[in-house]
This record gives sequence, structure tokens and C-alpha cells, in this order.
Amino acid sequence: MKLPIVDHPTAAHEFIVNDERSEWHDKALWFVRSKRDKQAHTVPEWEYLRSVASQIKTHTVANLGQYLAEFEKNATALGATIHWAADADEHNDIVLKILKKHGTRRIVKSKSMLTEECGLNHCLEANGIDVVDTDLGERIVQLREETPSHIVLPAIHIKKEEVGETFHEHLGTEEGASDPKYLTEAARGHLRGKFLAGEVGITGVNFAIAETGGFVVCTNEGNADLGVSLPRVHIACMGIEKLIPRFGDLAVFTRLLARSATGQPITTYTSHFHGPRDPESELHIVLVDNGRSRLRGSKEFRDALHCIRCGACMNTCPVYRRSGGHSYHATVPGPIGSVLSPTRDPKSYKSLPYACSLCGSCSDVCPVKIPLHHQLLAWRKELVGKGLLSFGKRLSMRGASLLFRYPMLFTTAGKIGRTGLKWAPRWMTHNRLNKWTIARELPEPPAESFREWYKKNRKG
Amino acid sequence: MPPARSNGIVYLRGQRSPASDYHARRVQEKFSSGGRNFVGIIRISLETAVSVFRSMSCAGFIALHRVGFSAVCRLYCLNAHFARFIQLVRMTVALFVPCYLDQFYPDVPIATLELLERLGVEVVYPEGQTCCGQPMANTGCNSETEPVAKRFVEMFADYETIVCPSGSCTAMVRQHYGDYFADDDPAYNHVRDRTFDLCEYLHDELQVSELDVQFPHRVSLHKSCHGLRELRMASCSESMTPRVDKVRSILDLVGGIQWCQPERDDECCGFGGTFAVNEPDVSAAMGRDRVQDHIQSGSEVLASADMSCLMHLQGLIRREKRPIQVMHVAQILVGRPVYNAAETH
Repeated sequence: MKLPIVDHPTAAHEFIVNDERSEWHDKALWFVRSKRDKQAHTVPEWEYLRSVASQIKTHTVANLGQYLAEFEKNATALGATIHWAADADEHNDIVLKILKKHGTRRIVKSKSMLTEECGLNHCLEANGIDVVDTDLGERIVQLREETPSHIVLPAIHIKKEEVGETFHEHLGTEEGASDPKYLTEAARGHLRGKFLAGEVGITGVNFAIAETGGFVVCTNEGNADLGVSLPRVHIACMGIEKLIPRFGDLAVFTRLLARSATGQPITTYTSHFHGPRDPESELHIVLVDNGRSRLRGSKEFRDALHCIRCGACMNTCPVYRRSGGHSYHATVPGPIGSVLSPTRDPKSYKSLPYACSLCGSCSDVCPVKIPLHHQLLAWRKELVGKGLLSFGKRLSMRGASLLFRYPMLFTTAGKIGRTGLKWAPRWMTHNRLNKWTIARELPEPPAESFREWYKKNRKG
Repeated sequence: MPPARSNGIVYLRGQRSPASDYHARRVQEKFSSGGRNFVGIIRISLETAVSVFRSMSCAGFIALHRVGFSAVCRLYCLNAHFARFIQLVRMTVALFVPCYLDQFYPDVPIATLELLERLGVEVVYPEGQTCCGQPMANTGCNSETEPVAKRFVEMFADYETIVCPSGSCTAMVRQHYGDYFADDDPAYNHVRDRTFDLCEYLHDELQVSELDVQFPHRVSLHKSCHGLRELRMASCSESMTPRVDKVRSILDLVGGIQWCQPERDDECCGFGGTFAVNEPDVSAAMGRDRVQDHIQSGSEVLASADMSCLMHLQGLIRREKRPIQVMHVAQILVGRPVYNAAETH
């Protein structure tokens, strides 16, 4: 499927031009990042935990085949049914087949970025199945027919007044209501009805454990638990990189996940699933590749498979906070999304690795030590290698390289620039064609360069 | 093996070439093993005698240079140690002046030069220098960066220490030059290991403990990202590893500074090199927020160890006529007057 080319600067402009909204969004996410810092400070071995988590993931990815086989064996022994999906379409077909087998008309789903990635909702709805996203943020965006803008806080871009409007339209709440407690209570009631009517529960997977064949789902709302406690059929969808080797490794990740994601010591519910709950129930686990083993083959980018989808990189990224998740036009936005999306389609997503000032904060917050800002830089090299850098930029880089190789050219160009800046009329130097000067003044040109000063004052 | 290329640069007596560096190490190895070995001692003595003999004739030296590198190398095996000793004693430092500082903010390298001279350092400015190659590298244009990087290393390989008043250019040389050189390239290794940001050099190498400078102003410090997260010159708010704040430690030696603390200690200013023009809206928004944060802290001088951040912030300050000015740390350390330092000369 050919995707349109995402131009991040243009998409960001739409969001940023609304100063008040962009500032509100930035402050909201900075607040989450501050909470993460506070929690990290309470763990003296925080940096050590990050190293251990990173090493566990590196080891797992290196031995992925072996651990997947082990997981399948152990999960099957517990009574679960394992399915393998090479790509998004296969995943959707598998889920649809299970639902059709049971004559399902209504499903409830807790948050799963993987199902977003595969476009499961659209597939099921096209086949006449009613899908209810039970995570509150997901439900809000679902009612508004939007996509989530953050992988952990899907509705972070929506103000409570806007939620009030949506709930008034769909849930019959009072017009103009914006009290979070009132709105949440309304959502609870509405979703309770959906839980009771749901015939199959679909969840994601935070961590799957090869040693035991079990898996863990973390939520704050308990919506995953409720969603699979009532129906007889539970379908768990996971990317193959969500595996960890042993039960003893789990604690490293549960200590890091919620602290990194929302600044909580732990999510309210950390639920462990080991096979179907009783002989009358079914547990299906769908393991999805969809480009992950190809990513694993890349030495430069395979560490991106460490990702535990915590969203800390988004909370810290100054570009994400100001331009919003939708400006990336990708299932997973922000720094990790800017590494993952080009692996799927370099041409469509070529502007994403450049939507970054290389500040490095993302790499510092990543609980599994993905060198995100180095990977974004590496992506730029890849894109240039694939000929995806615009001709104008390529030309200016060649020109710059030429100047820097010949000091005479460099100093001459500098002198011309300084003289030009001094004497040229303002409209020539500060105009809309010069992107620097849209918001900024150019530097005041000095009378002489440093090397000219040095020749006069120090040499000889 | 000494580098096989001949680059046409005439190495004067007392200066070290990358080849002589390698040869000096080899001689050192021979000395250390030769001490236990009679044959080794004879060999070293013969070699030294030959080189001393050859070094006696100036015309002979020029002729030998044209003849070949290995001959020149042998010539300097004696001089190499002596030269290195002299350099260490006299603390000769090569000044690496980033391209945009040379052309647009010459007062920053001037202040750097004055500061180092006051501290007794002999500073040399290799005049053929232009740029470290970061603008091309950050755009992903490795093939355009390679010749610039190679030129840089060649130019600076002769010097014991290289000091640069910019964290981002220093980080480029220390951490991103690996793509363009073999791992065991001695010139690259030397330049990589001996290039310092100014504050790093003052703090780690010179270990400056006092400065006779007064700067009675309200100052807030912008922690530029490369200096912070690549060179690790201070702790950062998201990392739990405590690190010494090298920039702040040096500035604390200046009398009279009244420190103001912005709310967000180390958020990126939004310059990001070509990012400033690729994503102009986000870049400007980030910069405005930084400026506002510093202003609300009560500061009158926004200081940083990286002029690139300040160039971007200054552009916004001047456009929007905000009541604050920018100054590079070097300018503060030599006591430049405020309302003058924002000018470029």
C-alpha cells in the first residue's frame, strides 16, 4: 500500500500555529516527564536497571527464534493456542477467523498499539463486527474518529472541554460539562454496558515470558482484565519482540515501565495470564512479525526492537511536545516512531528523522537504552544513501563541503556574506524565502573575521 | 606502518607529524624492551646515531624529505621526544575556531585566546582550518563530510592539545569522526583523544582554581545539548548519574555573578543546526520558550558554552526585542562588559 509522503514541518505548522494549544500540550507532557524524573530519583539503581533491561533485550533479540519456540511450547502446554502472523494482513485474517468461528458480533479491546499498527479496527468493522476500545483515552479518540496521538496517553491532545462535547454527543452527558470526575463516571457507565455485551475480549501484550508461556498486561483502568474476564474467548496480540526469557527478568521491566511511562511506581493492574482460565474458555495468542525480523537484521537499527512502548521518549522530546503526535502521521510517533516508521516505508517517512534537533534527551530517558538520537542520525545517512534528500539540500551540502575544503573559498565567501549582510537592504536578507529570518534576526556582521584579527594582532 | 601518504607539508624541527608520533611510540617500545636486551640497545644506538648524523645537514634534510617519509621519520626519532617534552612543558594548545565563530562571532575566539594566554597557555591558531564538517554530517551527507573531516585531522594532528569554544564541534570530532577513519589510525586517535571543549580543558586539564575576574550581573546558564549529553559536561535532569558541572564550576570562579535558575534546566534551545531551517516553526517555538524561561528567572545575561545555541536565541531576542542578552562563557571569563558582548566585535 503506497502511503502519502509525510511532510512533518507542514503538519507541525498546523499544530504550532495555535500557540495556546501547543503550549498547553507541551506543558501537559512536560508534567508527565517531570513525574518520571521524580520516580527515577527514588530508585538508586535506576541507571543500572536500564543497563540490565537493555542487555536482556539485546540477548532476547539475538536469540529470538529460540525463545519464540520456547514460548510456543510452554504456552501451548498451558492450553493456549498460538498463531503466527507474518504481517498485518495475516494478523487481521487470523483474528477475523477466530471471531467468525464463534459468530462474534461485538468485541471489547484494551489498548494494543500492535492492533493499531495492523489496522485491526477497520478490518473488523468492515466485516460487520462492533469494536469497542475500552481504554478511556482510546474510547475518546474512537468516538471522535481520530487516531491516538500518543502510545500511552492516546487522547493527550484533547482538552477536557472537547471530551465533554464528544460525550454529550455520544453518551448523552450534559452540554458544556468538563469536570473530569463527571465525565469519567459517565464513561464508566457506558463502558460497563459494553463489557457486559462483549463476546470476545482482545488485549495487547506488554511482556511475554518464554520460560513460562505466560504473558503480562499492564493497565491503570483494569479494562484489560474486565474485558477478558466475562467473555469466554481471549485473543492476545503481540509483536514478536515483546518476549523476555525468564520469569525472573520480568521485575526489571515492571520496575521501569510505569515509572518511565507515567511517573507511577507501577500500573494499577499488572495482570498475568497463563493459559485459558478454565476448560470452557479459549486463549489465542497471535505473534506478529510485520517487519520486525527485517529490522532485527539491521545492525544499526536492531536495538529499536528493545522498545517496551513506554512513551517516555515522546514525553521528553521537545519537538513532539510542541508539534503533537498527529504531525508524524504514523501509528507510533515521536522519537521511536521516527526510527521505526522509515523502516516500513523510507520514502513516505523521510522527513521524520529530520524532525529532531538531536538533543539526545530521548536516549537518556529510554528505559531499555535504545540509542535513539544516534539512530535518527543514522537514518539521515540511510536516506541520503537512498537518494531521498531533496536536490536543493544535497546541492547546498556539496557547496558547503567545497567551501570547507578550500580556505580561500571559505574566507572569500565569509567576507562576501558579511559585507552583503552589512550593505544589502533588509528586504534582501530578511524575507520569507530565507527560512531563518521568518522568526529570527540574522547575526550582526562583524567588521573582521577572527582570522583577520589574528593576522593583525597576534601573528609575527 | 607509518602513513603512506605524503601530503607535502614540510614538518619543521620541533613539530610532530603523525608519522613521527607513530615512530616515537615505536622507539619508546624499543627503548622499553631494548633495556632488557643487549641487541636492542645496540640497534637503538645505531639508529639514533644515524638520525643525528642525518639531521645535521639542513639541505640534507630537505632532500631527505623529498626522498621519502620513512627517511624523515627516522630523522625525528630523536626530536620527537624532545618536541613532545617542550610542548607539554610550555602547554601549547591549538585553537580550533568553529566556522561560524570565525566569520560571525570573532569576539568569542578572541576572548578564548585572551583567556588561555592569561592562564599561561601558549596558543597557536592553525590558519588553514575551516570547519569540522558537522553541518554536512548532521544532514546525513557522509561523503561530503569525509574530505572535511580528513582535512581537519591532518591539520590538527601535529598539536598536543586542541581546544574549541564549542561543545557541538568538539563532540563532532570526539564522537562522530569514527565513520571516516580506520580504528587504529594514529592521527585520528590522537586528535579525537586530545580535542577539548574550552570549559572541559579549563576544568580537567588546566584545573583552574582561581580567576581574577568580576562579573556583577544576573546570569542564567543554558546547558547546550552536545556539551551536556555528548560530552557529559554536567548532570542532566533526566539522567540519574551525577556528573560534575564543568561549565558552572569554572564560572563560579568569577566574582559577583548572581545566578538565576530557569525552570527547565536543560531543555534544548531548538537550534539543532539545519533543524533550525528544516523545522522553522518548532525551532522558533522551542527558542522562544527558552528565552522566556530565562527572562522569567530574572536573568539579564543568558550564558552558554556554545555560541550556536546563542546565535539562534539571540536572533529571536533581537527580533522580538526581549529584555535579555546572550554571552558566551569565554566572554564572561575575560570580563567583557555587558551590552557590548552581544555585539560581535
